[in-house]
Amino acid sequence: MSIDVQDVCSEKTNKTKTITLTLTEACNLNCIYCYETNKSKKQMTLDTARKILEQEFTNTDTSQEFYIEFFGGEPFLAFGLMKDIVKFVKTSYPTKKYHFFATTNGTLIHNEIQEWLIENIDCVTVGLSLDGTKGMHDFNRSTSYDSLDLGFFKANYPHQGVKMTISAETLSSLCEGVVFIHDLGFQCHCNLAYGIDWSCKSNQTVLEEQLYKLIDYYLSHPSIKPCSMLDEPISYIGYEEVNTTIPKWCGVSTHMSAYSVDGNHYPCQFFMPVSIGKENASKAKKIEFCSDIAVENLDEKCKTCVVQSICPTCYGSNYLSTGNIYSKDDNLCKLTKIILRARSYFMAKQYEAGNLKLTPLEEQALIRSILKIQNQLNI
Amino acid sequence: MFALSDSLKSFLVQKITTEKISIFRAASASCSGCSRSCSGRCDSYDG
Repeated sequence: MSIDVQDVCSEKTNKTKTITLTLTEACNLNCIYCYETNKSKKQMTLDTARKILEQEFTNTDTSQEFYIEFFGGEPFLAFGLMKDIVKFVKTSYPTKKYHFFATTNGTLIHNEIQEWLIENIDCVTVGLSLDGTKGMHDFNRSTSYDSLDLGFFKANYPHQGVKMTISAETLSSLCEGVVFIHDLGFQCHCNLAYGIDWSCKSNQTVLEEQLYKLIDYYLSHPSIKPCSMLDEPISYIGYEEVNTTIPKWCGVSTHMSAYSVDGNHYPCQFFMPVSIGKENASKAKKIEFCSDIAVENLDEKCKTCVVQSICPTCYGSNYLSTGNIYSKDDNLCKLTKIILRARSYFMAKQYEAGNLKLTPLEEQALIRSILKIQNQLNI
Repeated sequence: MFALSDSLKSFLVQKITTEKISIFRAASASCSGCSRSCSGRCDSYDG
């Protein structure tokens, strides 16, 4: 009997289109890893937003779902515009299926904004960036911890989790930060910052130490959902054949459209002038993204890498650091391999402890993937 | 680094059946963890 891993992995839906609207290029913080190095006070107009949405909604059938994301800068600096856009969509497109999402630093979510968010909780979700303990967060994110009303996020968006970005400076507190976030009652989506200098050799040792600590924590707290760094699936590599294509990692371009404050279209926010400058952004408009990437187009170091199809990557960050969307920074590559080896180790331990609920197909794919990583992934 | 003990490896190897796993054909595995805080909705959110 042949097992098709397509049955094992939950299939992605193609029915959701993400539209990212950069409401403003301004931000009230100056986070140490921020890749938006060309911020300004520019703000999108309601007229621009309306034209974008009218165009996106045109010629779509009723089953098409839209995920309209408010981005910045800090999008709540343009709160009036955000309210107007939500009102416009609600009144003009009552039959469309949509949900709004705002990526926020949380510092402005108080009083009137909280009231509005509660009124619109059925159609607006916010995602908070929280970088760990107060010390970690304040170091990374302009001493803003005390400006956050964490209780509001926990009470109103209990399933959203928070986004924890790890800088080189907070790497040595990774485990402490994740546990702190769990103790607050949040799920934790964490990743290493993209586009920063990870060249210091000691980062590899520090990351390894932190992941061992974190794995011990999760093995002794099996009821806590592990952070994304250790929990994302690895089973997609549990097959024998040689792959000639791998799936594109994220929704850039094919599942999402990002618009700058002046209404120009880009593959995602990382390719906008606010992030990579006007000249690079202009060149990036010519990049063609497709859902399947030919292995022969990958970076040399990735062509024969066993984890090529489960390796988290950011095409925008790759483009900025190497000039090639498929070419990952060497230092980040090494750290990512450590994370994937740690994940295989953790999942083997979870499996041994009986902590995983798997179908027979999932079990086979997972075991083979674990062994493949253990035997073939060298750092 | 993060190497399984020989006994755990053997335990896993014993669990492998003779069934062949076909090459997978699925969309991207999960969230790349970019700055958007959307938890993978850019590609996988299904409401």
